[in-house]
Amino acid sequence: MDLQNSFTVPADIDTAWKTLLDVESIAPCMPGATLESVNGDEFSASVKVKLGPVSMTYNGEARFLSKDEASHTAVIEGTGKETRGAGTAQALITTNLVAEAPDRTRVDVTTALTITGKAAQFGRGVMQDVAGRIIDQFANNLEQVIGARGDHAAAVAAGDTTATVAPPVIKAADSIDLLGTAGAPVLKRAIPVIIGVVVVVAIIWWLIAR
Amino acid sequence: MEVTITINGTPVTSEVEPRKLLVHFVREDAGLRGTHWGCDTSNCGTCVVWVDGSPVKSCTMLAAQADGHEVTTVEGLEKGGELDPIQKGFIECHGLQCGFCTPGMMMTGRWLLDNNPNPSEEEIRECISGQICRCTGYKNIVASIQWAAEHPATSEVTA
Amino acid sequence: MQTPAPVEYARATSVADAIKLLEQHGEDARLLAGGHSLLPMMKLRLARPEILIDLNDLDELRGIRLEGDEIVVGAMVTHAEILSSAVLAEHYAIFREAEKVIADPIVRNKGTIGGSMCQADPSEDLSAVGSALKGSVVIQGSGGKRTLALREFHEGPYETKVADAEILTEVRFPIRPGAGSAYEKVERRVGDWPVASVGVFVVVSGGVVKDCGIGLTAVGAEHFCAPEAEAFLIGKAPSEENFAAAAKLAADACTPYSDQRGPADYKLHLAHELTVRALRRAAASSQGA
Repeated sequence: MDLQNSFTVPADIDTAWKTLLDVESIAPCMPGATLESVNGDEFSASVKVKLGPVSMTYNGEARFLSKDEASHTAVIEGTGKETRGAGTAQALITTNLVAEAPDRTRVDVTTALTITGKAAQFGRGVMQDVAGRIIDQFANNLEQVIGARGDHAAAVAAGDTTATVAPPVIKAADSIDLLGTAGAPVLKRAIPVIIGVVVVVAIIWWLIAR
Repeated sequence: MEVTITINGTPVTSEVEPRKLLVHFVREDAGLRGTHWGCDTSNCGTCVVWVDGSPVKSCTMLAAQADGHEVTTVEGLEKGGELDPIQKGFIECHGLQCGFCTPGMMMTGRWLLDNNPNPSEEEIRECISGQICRCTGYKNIVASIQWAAEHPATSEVTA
Repeated sequence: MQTPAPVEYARATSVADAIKLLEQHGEDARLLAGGHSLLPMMKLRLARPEILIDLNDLDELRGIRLEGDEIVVGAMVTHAEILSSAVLAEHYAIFREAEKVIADPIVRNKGTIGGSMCQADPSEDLSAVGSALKGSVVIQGSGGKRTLALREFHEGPYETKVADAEILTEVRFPIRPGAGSAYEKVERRVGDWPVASVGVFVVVSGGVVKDCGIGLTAVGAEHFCAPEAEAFLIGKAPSEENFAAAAKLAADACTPYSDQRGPADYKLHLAHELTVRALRRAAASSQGA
């Protein structure tokens, strides 16, 4: 099945593109995610998700199939497997950036999802809702990261507000401080938020035999 | 954990895991197989027993929850060798074919009549609406409960 | 065979004791009320709490009573008790109408209003009832009690504002003299979740709608209500034309998804039609009362 989600970031399209591919700075935006390994464009991680009485840990792997800066489109392939159980999820995620304004970019996410196991018998139901909520949460966090980058760069440019600000390098520690998430795992790099959404979405599939 | 449940008037004590379902306690620890284990998802109602006089789908209750409480099963309908009017009704009116749903139907029927001695057909159907029968089409189950309502325990039964 | 994962079990001896146990075990604990949402999830191993805290001994969470201008329903009051409550029926027909189509007579013996509210299924019938009546909940933690409007209670599907170490203790409904109320539900079979459900109350006085509440469930209405539709009706005559206009606004507030219970456009149609029918009956009841 296909899921459609969208969110906006308060930045120009190039900044947004660079930020979203700079997994180091966006990783803390995804609650519950722990990176396990990184190898170029390939990542593995676990994501713990809690939704009401349901609490699950997923192990997942993802890799960039393509990144096209000209069209601002990235395609990611991801698979996730529940740590305790036989369910699996596979997703092909296409993210496309659209410039809405000089300082606003829309990120459109299309996820083609395949679920096996228990989850496969459940209907679509609430999945889109919850995926939307998680993306909203991520987007809110991301807004702070991008906003903070913007402030930092503006200060560096000593008040010059005309030029597009190049995203500064943010150390992991700074990211954590900016988000105020003391205690969040210190990550060298981290999975794209998308895989977090994928595995969460797979979990939502599992919700109650109703 | 140790659990003691009084079933049909007799205390049954057993060492069980907290996750053990009441239906399995009744069938295994108490050895009472009259209560059936069907869908396991609270849909079919073949596992219905009374807990403190109130019918419950025992597949969706832990034995631990019934610790210290009273449970009545289908075996408890018979009193002093005499079948309950509900049981007689199911015989008289051919209220069962395979018999799988029957214990739950009888327990619910008996509870209905205890609270509403002369129910309408609609009330009977409504009361068993949470239970499933694959054989009878429900018509004879309703008739059996009606028969039991018309032939309460104090009167003589003629075949 | 569906067997829950190994779990521990404790019986709370009081609300304070339950809160203490919740604080002790954190997010690994789940409260056990009727168990007819939680146990099926545990049997599928979707939910795997480490410990269950059974609330069934707590009489302090039971009972339906009047308190000033509110009806107070204890969190452990069962669906069966709500269905048969004379107090509730006297003030709002919606309770009996909704409970008649919630689950089935046997499951209603165990399911509780607190459990249903806290499970927060996006198709929960009592959520539509509570939102329609603009009720509130009392939530208790170690820091004391707080009251929250039901229209602010839900954070999303299966998520509420009740924190990990808190317990919902009561649900409260305002008493409205002269109110008529009604519940309309379409379901595929007995005991099913709704395809769509609408619950309303209407107070008609002097030939116009003085007050109303419109609650909807299973159709993606935010906070299970349609405030624009309600605002439209206030001050207007309880006419078919106005019901239809309000129903259109109510349907506009819905974002249902297509699933095994039906396509989205059908659910929107139901949101509209059921709102009309519920308003019609509630208004008639208010005028007849």
